[in-house]
Amino acid sequence: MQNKKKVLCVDDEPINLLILRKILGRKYEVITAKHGEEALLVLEKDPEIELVITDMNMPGMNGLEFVREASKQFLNKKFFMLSGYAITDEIQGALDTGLIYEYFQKPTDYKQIDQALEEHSFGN
Amino acid sequence: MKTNDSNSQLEALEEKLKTSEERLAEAELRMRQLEGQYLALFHHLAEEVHLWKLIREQDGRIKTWELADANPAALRTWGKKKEEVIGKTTDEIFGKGTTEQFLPIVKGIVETGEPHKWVEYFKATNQYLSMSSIPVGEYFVSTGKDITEEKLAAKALEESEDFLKRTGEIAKVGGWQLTGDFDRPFYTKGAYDILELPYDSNPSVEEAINFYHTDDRKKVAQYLSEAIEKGSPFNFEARLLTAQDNLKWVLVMGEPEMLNGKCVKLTGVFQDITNRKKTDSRVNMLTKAIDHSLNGFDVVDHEGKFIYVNKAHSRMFGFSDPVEIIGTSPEKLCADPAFPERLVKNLKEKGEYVCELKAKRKDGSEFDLLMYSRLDYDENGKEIYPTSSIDITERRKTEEEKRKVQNQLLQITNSIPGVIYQFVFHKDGSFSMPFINDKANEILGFSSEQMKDPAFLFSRIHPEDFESTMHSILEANHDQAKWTKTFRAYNKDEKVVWIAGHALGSADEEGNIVHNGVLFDISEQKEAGIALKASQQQYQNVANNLPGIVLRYQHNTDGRNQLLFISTGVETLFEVDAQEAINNNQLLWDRVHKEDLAAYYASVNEASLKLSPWKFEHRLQFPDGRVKWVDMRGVPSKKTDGSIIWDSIGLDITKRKEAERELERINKNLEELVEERAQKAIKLSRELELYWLAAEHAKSGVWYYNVRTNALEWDNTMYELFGIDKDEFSGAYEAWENSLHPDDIEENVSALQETITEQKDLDILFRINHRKSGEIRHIRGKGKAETDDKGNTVAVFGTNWDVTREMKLAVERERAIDQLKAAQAQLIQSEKMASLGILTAGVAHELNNPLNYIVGGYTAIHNHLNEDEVLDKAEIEEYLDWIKTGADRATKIVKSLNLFSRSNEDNTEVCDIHQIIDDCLLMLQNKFKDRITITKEYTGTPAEVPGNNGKLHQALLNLLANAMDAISEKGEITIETSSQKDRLNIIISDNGCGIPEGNLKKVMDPFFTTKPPGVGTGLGLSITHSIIQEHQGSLTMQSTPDAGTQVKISLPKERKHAK
Repeated sequence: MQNKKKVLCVDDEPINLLILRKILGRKYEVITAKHGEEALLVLEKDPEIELVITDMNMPGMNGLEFVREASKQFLNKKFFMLSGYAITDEIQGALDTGLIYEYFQKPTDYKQIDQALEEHSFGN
Repeated sequence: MKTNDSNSQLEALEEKLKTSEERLAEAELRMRQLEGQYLALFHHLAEEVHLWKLIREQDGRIKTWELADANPAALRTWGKKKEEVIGKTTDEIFGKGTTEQFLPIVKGIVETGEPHKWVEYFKATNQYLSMSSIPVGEYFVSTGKDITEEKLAAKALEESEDFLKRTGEIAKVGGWQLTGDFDRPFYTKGAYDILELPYDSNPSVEEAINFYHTDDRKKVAQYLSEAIEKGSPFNFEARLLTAQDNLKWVLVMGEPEMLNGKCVKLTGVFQDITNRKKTDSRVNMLTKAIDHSLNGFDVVDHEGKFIYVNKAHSRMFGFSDPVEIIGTSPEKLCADPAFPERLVKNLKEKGEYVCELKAKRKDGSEFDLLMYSRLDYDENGKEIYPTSSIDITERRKTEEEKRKVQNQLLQITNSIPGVIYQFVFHKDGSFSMPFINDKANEILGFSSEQMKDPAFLFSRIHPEDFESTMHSILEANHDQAKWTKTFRAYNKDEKVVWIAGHALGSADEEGNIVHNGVLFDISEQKEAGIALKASQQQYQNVANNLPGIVLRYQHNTDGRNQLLFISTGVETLFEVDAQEAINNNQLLWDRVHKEDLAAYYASVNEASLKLSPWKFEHRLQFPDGRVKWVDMRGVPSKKTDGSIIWDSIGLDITKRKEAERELERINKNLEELVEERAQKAIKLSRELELYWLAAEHAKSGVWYYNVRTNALEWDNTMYELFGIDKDEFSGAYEAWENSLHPDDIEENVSALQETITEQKDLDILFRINHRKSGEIRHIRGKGKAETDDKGNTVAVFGTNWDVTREMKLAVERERAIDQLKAAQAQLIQSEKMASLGILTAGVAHELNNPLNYIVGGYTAIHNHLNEDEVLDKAEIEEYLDWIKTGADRATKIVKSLNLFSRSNEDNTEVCDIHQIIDDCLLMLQNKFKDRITITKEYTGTPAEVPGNNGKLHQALLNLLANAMDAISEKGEITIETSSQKDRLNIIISDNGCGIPEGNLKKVMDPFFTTKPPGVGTGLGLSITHSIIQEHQGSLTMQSTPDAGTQVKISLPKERKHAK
């Protein structure tokens, strides 16, 4: 299990985190955070984390704000967004600039997430 | 310290001193000359000239003198006439003691043969006289004038003589010398005297300088230092303040002695020139006085040329400056050119000359001049003729005027037909009659001498008038008294005489009251007055007994009116007191009816102008509203002074007028009646005409249905209405019934039957097939039943007209209303859709989460089944739980969404407001999540109200959505519910942008929106409001821009059933 890549999942809905942990946990070491602030602390503690999946609507920082802040502080992270909303202009902008690698809409197609993570994993 | 050198130097200085003394002497001489001229001016100007003849005792001593002649000025001063005084002695003219007072002067001039100038206070005329008396054999001439006012000036002049004496004194000279260290000089005694110092005080240079006036010290010190350093001699005037504090003017001179360019000795003198200084200023003053004197003054030299002329002189002769005259000859200033020669001759003989002459101004005009000339000598011993003169033209005129006035006064006095008298109340209480003129005897027949005795005079007063007359006389015993009295007295023949007395009293110096008065015999007037009174009385008696009024009115030229008489009838007619009316005739004018006043004035004015008999009928208006008619007639007559006298009578003609008016009124009523009828007839015919016009215009057809014969008659319009030709019409009832639309037959036929059987008015509407056009036409019909004398319907008649157009319009209107209703419904629906639109986004997102659980559960189970060999039941359970949670949530969301879209009209559902709010918040999550803090303050009691769940959802969703829209970024919304006895209150407060005051009233109006077009329908709040109203609740809003909005909803807990 030591070789498993680490994925950080950020969502304010505990059930969503639970689902992600269970489903992605088969291939990745899933670390969770309930909001952006917590996620930043986690990233600082654990520089090995390369992949980050975040919800959009969260208390405090929203998903995009968190991604901006995190990419400022940390290099070599790959951000994915998972949200119940349709793509907004703002999110599209983030996708276009490469700030976010991919956007997944709820209800989640986990195969799509799995493929994207596979594709963007470092070292692959 | 005295040396020969210093002595010689002193001598040199004394030479210089001499020069200054010469200057002094010159000044003195000039002063004397000027003084002489000045004195001549003031002392000798001859205003009065009188010639006296000496009267001697037997032994040759002068006893007294009598007047031989006097000029008008003298006579005026004395207040005498020439004939009264010529030949009279001085005592007789001026009173005893005059001879005694002036005898020394007269003796003096007669004995010396020299003229003498003198100034004396002359008691007789209370004057200060400045006179010059000139002896001429057994006569002497006195000339001079009253100088009472100039007395002080003369005194000042005397003082100047005193000064002159003092300037004659030898000025004191002091000497001093400085050698060695130039510190302490040597002083002569004279120097100490000037400085008023003890002889041994020996002050230093510095101390000596300090004796000079502070303003001069600098100058003194400078002269000294320049003498010592440069060897400059000095000569200056300065002021000293002596040891005794006396101010002195000194002339200071100094002579330095130089050796090898260095001063070794300085010798000086100073001379007290205080007096000279004073004299200088005195001379200046005198010159000024002469220059500015109001009298003319001039000096002519021996060559006959003016050498001095003062300003007054040049002005008098019409020159602007004395320079114009100086150097010219006096001839051209005299009307008689030979006069100057004659004057010189006279002066050479007599030394002085006084005369009046005609003088000539620069412009040639002549004037009267009074002049005094004197022979004098200048410093070279040549003759000079100083002259003073004054323009007496004005005075002459004044004298002339005065004489005229006096003459007039005399004439008047003599022509007065009364007695002029003077009566004096003496201070001691007695009284006297010092004067009463000769006319006195005309009044009572007693001589003026007899009348001078007041006691006698008073004894003649009529006993009935005595007390009042004496009383009035005694009352007038004061200053400024004015006495007027009419009284009777007995004349010499013991007949009664009426006397009117007028006097003015004034206090004299001694406190006596002097009355000057006049007494007139007014018996005739009095008698005439009494007679007049008697005749007036008669007139009045007659007038007062006449019916109506008699009056005499005077219209003065100045516009004033005066009621001279009015009979007592005025009290009945005008209802004004006669006496009051005379005092104030406005009272009568006030009675004249306002509408008649202008005509009244006009007719009076016209008659006044033409002096024609006048007649005027007018009304009188009384305060209580009553009106009287008066017939006024009068005759105007013009008096010599232009005033118009009206003798008028006025009669009460009210009764006659009333009768006249009654007749007039009856006549008028009759006329009015005729007129009214005529108008009515015209109106009727016009209405009739209009009716026909209207009928034709409206295309109303007229029909007549004879019930008994079944005959139906139509007019032409009816055929047009039905589109039938006349020959096609059967003329029977069936023809009508057959033409009706089949659907309308039953209804209309029964209506007609009702009219026939019940005689109800017929009002029907039916369709016909218009034969000619083939169109369906709508016809309206109205009719009435015609009955026979038994009350049976014999016929029905009425009108028909085409209402197709109206019907079409009505249909159109209905259609329009329907369309409007549809549009409204559509709008409401669209608002609902808009609300749903709001929801959709939120609902979709909210559904995505629970769906995510379901998909997550499914994926997890799927993975587990496919990839793990061992089936973990517990794990499957967990995944199923996710699915259950997701499904439950989704269900809930869909359910609440249902509530919004539901469109039943049931108003009796139980609506849980808390649930509704929570549903709404759930729907609106995407609008506020992570942005707005929602605080719920729900009441603990059930929040249930009867109503329509769907509508209440819509309403609250709207309100909450608005609150969220009001908050642009982050903010707070508080939702508070509270339960009252029978109502549930909901308050939704936000801290958003608020609503401007102007918009607050409009927000509930339909279509009001501040959102961009297409964003909002503008119906949200309007519909919300109507929903709350449907629930019998209320909705109120309060808002403060930039602070927030509060919406308050109050809903009843129980429904009251509407009627």
